[in-house]
Amino acid sequence: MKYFGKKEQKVIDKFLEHLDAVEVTVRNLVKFIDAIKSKNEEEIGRLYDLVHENESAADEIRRAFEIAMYEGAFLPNFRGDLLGLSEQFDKIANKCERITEYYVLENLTIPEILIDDLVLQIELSLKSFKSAKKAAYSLVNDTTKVEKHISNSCERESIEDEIERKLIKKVYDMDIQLAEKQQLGKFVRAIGDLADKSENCVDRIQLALIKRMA
Amino acid sequence: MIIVYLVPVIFFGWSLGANDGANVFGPTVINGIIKYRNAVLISAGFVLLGAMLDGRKGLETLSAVSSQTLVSATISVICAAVSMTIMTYIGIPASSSQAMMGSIIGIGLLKSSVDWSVIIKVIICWIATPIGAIFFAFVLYKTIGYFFNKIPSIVGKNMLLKIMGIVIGAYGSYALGANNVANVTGPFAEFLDFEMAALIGGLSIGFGIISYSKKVMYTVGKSIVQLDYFSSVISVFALSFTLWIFALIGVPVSSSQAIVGAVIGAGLARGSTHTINKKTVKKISLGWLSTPLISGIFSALIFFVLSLFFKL
Repeated sequence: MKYFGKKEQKVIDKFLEHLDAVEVTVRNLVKFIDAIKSKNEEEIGRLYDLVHENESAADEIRRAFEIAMYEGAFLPNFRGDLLGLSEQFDKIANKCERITEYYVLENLTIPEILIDDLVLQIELSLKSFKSAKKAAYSLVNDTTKVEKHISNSCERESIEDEIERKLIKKVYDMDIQLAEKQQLGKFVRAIGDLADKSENCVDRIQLALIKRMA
Repeated sequence: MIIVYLVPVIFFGWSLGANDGANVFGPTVINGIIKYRNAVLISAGFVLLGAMLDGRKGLETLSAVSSQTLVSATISVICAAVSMTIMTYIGIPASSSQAMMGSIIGIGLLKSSVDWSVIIKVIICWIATPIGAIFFAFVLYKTIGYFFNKIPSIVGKNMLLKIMGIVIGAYGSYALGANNVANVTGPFAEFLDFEMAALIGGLSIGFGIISYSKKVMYTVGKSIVQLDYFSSVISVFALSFTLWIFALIGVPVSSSQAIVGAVIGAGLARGSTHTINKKTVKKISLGWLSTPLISGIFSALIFFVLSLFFKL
């Protein structure tokens, strides 16, 4: 295929490179939450900047991917699928950036009682993302494995949902100001959104796969 | 002198190429797999090749329907062309094969020189065209689809579809030339040798494709690619195969009716039944009846009026 689909291979390479960039952003967000747990302010500041940089880098790769796409690779309907999928993955990187901003710019204080659950929640979101990424990788390289990764991603998203609900309940059961509850609730939901967005990605992957089956 | 009589033939071939060339390369051009200019050049080349290599039987069939004079042959072609134009104008789908056959029969009836065994063979083939296309599309979809699904890479699937689009487009053009050349020069087969009849027919269809098929190609192509790309490639393959089979049998058939059948067949193979509707069946049935009837009445009338004043 290398000789017959150079344009296509270039697009696929950029697409996968973008997924890697998104993964780096999510991983650094996990480290950011760990830094909150260990109350390491210096590390929090460094990771805040790093996540921002990671998100910008992902954006740049995505733009290069879009340009490569419109050099005429792939049939038009698959171009649409791949662009939509890349856009969906990019929203995950954007969300990571938002989460760090919620914490840093809104001077959020996370009660000790919530932090372990938050770490668990972000780790599940990362796992859900990783499965979605594998599903995307399989979509372009080995479609026989797509279903398995889709199912893994959904399963992890479902577990993350449970934790998110428990966390929200915990937040609203706490004896703190309503504004603080709302602020924390928004933070928890934003982390939960990462897994939801991974699920949106696998939904798109599933659809793209079905469309390519005879 | 014969060149004067051939002017309407060239015009008819040109209009056939402009209209029917769209069916075979439309989806490939619409999807940007091949540029329009390259598509029409390939198409015109393969139409000519098809006409020269596999067009003989169709030409023999059309010349066997009824004996012709140069004048009656010219009237047949003009009436078929005019009928096609009128029917397209009033919105009834018309087939050049059926229009031409109607014209020849119309005059043949007046001259009492119709060979009914040929007519019966032709009518059976017309009815079998959409049915055959449904069958071929279904079988091709299931067979090629089985292997297509085994390709694990999207890049691989994409490349295969692109290659299939071009190869099938070329094959479809070959089949179109082989099957439809008889419509163009069939009535003149008694006055030209086969090679010349195929050459004139093939060149005029090819010229129609090169010079005036863009608009139709984009319109028809868009309606075919409403399907997923695999189904549209298979539909064009089934259309091409149907045309080619009938070229070998020696009966010119309607590519428009074949593509309708092929789309239905691909839809059925995919598990969809909504591609079949009463309106489509009615349209095809109406085409079978009205096109040859109108062109037949038209040619008989013109021939009759002219025969009152001239010895034809």
